[in-house]
Amino acid sequence: MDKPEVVKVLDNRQREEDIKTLVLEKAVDARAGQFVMLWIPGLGEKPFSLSKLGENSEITYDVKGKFTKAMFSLKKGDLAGVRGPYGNGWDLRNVKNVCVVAGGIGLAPVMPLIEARKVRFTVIYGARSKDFLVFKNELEKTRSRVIFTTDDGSFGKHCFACDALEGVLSDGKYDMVLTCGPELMMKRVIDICLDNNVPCQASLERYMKCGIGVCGSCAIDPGGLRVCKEGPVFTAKQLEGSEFGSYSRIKSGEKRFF
Amino acid sequence: MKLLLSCPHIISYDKMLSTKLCGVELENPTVLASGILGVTASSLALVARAGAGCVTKKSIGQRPREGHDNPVMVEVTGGYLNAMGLPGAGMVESIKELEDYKQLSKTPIIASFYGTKVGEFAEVAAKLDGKADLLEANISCPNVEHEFGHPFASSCEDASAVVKGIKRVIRTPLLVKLSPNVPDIGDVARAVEKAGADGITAINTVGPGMVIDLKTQRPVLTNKSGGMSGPAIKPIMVRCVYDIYESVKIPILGVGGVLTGEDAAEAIMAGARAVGIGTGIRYRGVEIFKLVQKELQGFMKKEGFKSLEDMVGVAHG
Repeated sequence: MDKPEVVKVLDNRQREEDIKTLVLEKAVDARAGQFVMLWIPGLGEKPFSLSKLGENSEITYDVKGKFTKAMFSLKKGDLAGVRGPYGNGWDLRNVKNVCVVAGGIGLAPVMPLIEARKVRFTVIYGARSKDFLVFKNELEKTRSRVIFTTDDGSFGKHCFACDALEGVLSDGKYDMVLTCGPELMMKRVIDICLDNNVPCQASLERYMKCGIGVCGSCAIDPGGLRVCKEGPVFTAKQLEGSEFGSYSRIKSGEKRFF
Repeated sequence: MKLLLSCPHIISYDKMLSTKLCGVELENPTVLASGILGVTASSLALVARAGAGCVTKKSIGQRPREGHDNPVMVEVTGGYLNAMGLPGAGMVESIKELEDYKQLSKTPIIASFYGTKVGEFAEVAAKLDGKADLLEANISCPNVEHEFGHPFASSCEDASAVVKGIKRVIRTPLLVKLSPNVPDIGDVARAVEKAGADGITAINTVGPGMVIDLKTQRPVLTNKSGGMSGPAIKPIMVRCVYDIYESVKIPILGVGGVLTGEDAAEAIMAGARAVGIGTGIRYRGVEIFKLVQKELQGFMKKEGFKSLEDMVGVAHG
């Protein structure tokens, strides 16, 4: 049923100054890259991807607005509603060697795949500075090849995550690139992949209301694909020539250019 | 040879399901209902490509409006409650979306619109005139009562005043969307027909209803209540269309709970010339438009109806 199932918060772990991981007393039966609608009674409901699937599912988030600010104060024993999972998730069928390009908490929806280690991963993980490489410790435990980048040079390579991609693609054979993070970073990643003829998938964020493919708030131009239904993961080919990287729509439906 | 043989079939298929709504020719009677996948031109064009005979742009207001906070939709037995709260990009951006739609699709489009006061309906209608094949005055949204007061469709006088004001300033045919939440919908239909409406869309959502979460002991919807849609409201739609057909001569667009071709046939027998589909998309995907047509055609063949026209209002004897 498309109705929130109210569950207990088991933990709301501090990761960095503005970043926490919410642990729910619920096993969300989701594929990596799918999302849930999280309801906090009295505050609203927003879509979140899961940074850990299965028992005690987790959501890793940063403070962006009113809702996430309130989410920050949730503590053990509080109640939150979950409906979903919704959307398509990442598709790694017939794929063996994957390159991930992620920024900050954008790595969250990919973490369950990297930790499952069913295929080989090279991860380019970037953030503003060292403190925002939230998944650094988890990544190091997975024994995947990891290239860290920071905008300010405080850790790893002194560049944007997408800048490291061309080098990685030229010295290895990758049959898929996955990207999640700031939209302009992802736009650069899909452009590089299209130029290099490497398949690529990107996870999109758009203002969502119903979350179930009915209201049309999250449809992207010009194909009208719904981020909550056909997405949130789209292929570079689907996004080529679209609004992606150019504009999105706000709560009222008005366009806002990046 | 095979191709030649299949051609007459395609032609008869098109003719069999074609219909007319206030002078606008529709290839088939399925219409995307207002409020569903109707925010952007590209979303509307996707539904047109999926086979809808006509689509409806979500209600346009004078100014941009965010609508209610999430949750705005929750499932119940037999349907959904929703309280979107009339979000919209406002007149200027919405007209651009209508123009963009015309570039993307030839399928007719209805522009739904609303006002908060009688005069505002006419102001918005004047700007939308000629920008869509049909206009639909939404005088029956059940989710903005706190702000706007009772819907205009709740009273014959209010409904009539709104329609008169709109008709003075437009040339595009006008549908008026009525509420089922009135003692006698036939009376309201007569009032809007007399005021000059060219057609009636029936029904808007039912109720409104409420869902309370038992653990948090709070209403789930931020707006607390929301209008009901989905299969459970179909019998209410059928009764309303039946009553309206008894009361007026203008054409009816039947909307509410249609999931199958048989559901569409029921609305048509009650008196509808076209049939809206909205929440049904959640149950059957956007493929629902083609599925309903196929099922409706199968039903008509089985029962010996040669055209949709032959079936309109047959339930009235």
